[in-house]
Amino acid sequence: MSATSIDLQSYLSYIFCVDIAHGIHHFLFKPEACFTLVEWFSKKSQAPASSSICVFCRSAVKKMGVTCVCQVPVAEGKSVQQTVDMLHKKLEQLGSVKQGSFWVDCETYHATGNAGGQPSKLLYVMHNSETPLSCMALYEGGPYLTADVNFDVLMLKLKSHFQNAKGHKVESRGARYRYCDFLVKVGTVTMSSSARGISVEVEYCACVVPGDCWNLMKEFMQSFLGANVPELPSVFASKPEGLYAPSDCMDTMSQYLELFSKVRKQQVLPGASVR
Amino acid sequence: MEAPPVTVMPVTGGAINMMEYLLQGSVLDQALDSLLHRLRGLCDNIEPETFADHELVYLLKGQQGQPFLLRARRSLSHPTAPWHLRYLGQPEVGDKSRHALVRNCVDVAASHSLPDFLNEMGFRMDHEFVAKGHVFRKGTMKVVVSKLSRVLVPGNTENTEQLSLSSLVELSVLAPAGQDTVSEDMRAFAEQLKPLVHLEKIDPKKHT
Repeated sequence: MSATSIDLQSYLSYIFCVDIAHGIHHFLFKPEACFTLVEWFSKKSQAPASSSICVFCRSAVKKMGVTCVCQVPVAEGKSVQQTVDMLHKKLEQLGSVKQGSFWVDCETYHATGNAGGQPSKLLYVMHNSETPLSCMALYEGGPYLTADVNFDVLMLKLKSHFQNAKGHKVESRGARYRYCDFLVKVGTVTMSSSARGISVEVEYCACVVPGDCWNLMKEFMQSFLGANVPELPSVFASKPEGLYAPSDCMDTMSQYLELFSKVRKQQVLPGASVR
Repeated sequence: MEAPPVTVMPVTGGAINMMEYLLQGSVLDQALDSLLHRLRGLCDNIEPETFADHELVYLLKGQQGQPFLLRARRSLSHPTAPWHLRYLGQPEVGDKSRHALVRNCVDVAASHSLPDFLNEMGFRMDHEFVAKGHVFRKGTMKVVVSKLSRVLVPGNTENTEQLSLSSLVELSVLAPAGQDTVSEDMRAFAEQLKPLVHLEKIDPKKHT
């Protein structure tokens, strides 16, 4: 990723940022009011130099740190909900504070017109409550696109070319905990309203270089996941040493995508219907 | 204090049914300065804005029916700004009571990976051009006066050739479907630009 695109990413996430802890949207931008890019930019030029300050309310807006998403197996003899409750209890014992909830979802689209004769690649469109006005479109292994939520409207317009595989919608919902500089999100992964597993996302907000904080993150995760601590996520492993994680949530989303693909292939857990 | 649940916010959304109301015209280069002068007088008193954009028009061909067209724009003067992706629906020109062309419109801001991503989706670049000019605003109305240039070597925006000796003038408003009264305001505004430029409801189908 080039320096300019990192700069852009920080700009994009800046526009669509939201402070979930306080329920405030920052810099609610209406791209439909603009036609030319110069209009876009004129809006940017009104912004202060530091990209972590909201233009309107001048409050600091959280930036992305290094995240790790992993699947936690259901404890033996327990249900999904019981395992989630156990994790919550452990986090609270550590001194974590519950700060609202979170969701991540993923829709699958397949191309209808298959002119090339090869099996078409699946297009995934994802959303994350951390950036609720953004929309992430991904192909497995890339390319990735960050856009605003009007991309969803565009996909509706494209429905004769890209069909939404409704039954394949996967989402993870759950509680969001904060422990000092760590954000922990424990979610129940569901597909067509049946629970398929548990996801745990850990974000270390104080650092953007995965290699510099991985051991710390691992140690923190050990404190509540025990033996279930994952390896360094492959999105980071495949990058050259010391490369910064972009400040949008694409690295997080590709980890969720990997987890969701695994969950999709998995058998339905017995007696695991939710709500 | 516990934060409100995030789920109260729209999960997916965007502006579902936005329409673009459009009037178009052209002005010869000799008269351009007088038009800009007139627009500066008529429009909102904000700093004059200029722009230089590179637009790529992409087509997605299906097995049947019309190809699906998308316009991707990037700013040449602000290379780090996001790309702008635009879908425009079939224009409605038949209704005599409406004074402007009306078409469905979806605007998406996107990251710089947009061209690669569209290629992966199966879109192919059909043609490209460079538009340079001025933007004016009056309330929700927008006036864009732009000079269009052909790109001679694909992808090279330095090497361009002007399409004509005139500039394109577009008056547009974005509004939710059904707000036809905006077309009245647009007509009234267009009247004030006569005889420098005649803004009309132009059916693009008649020119292809």
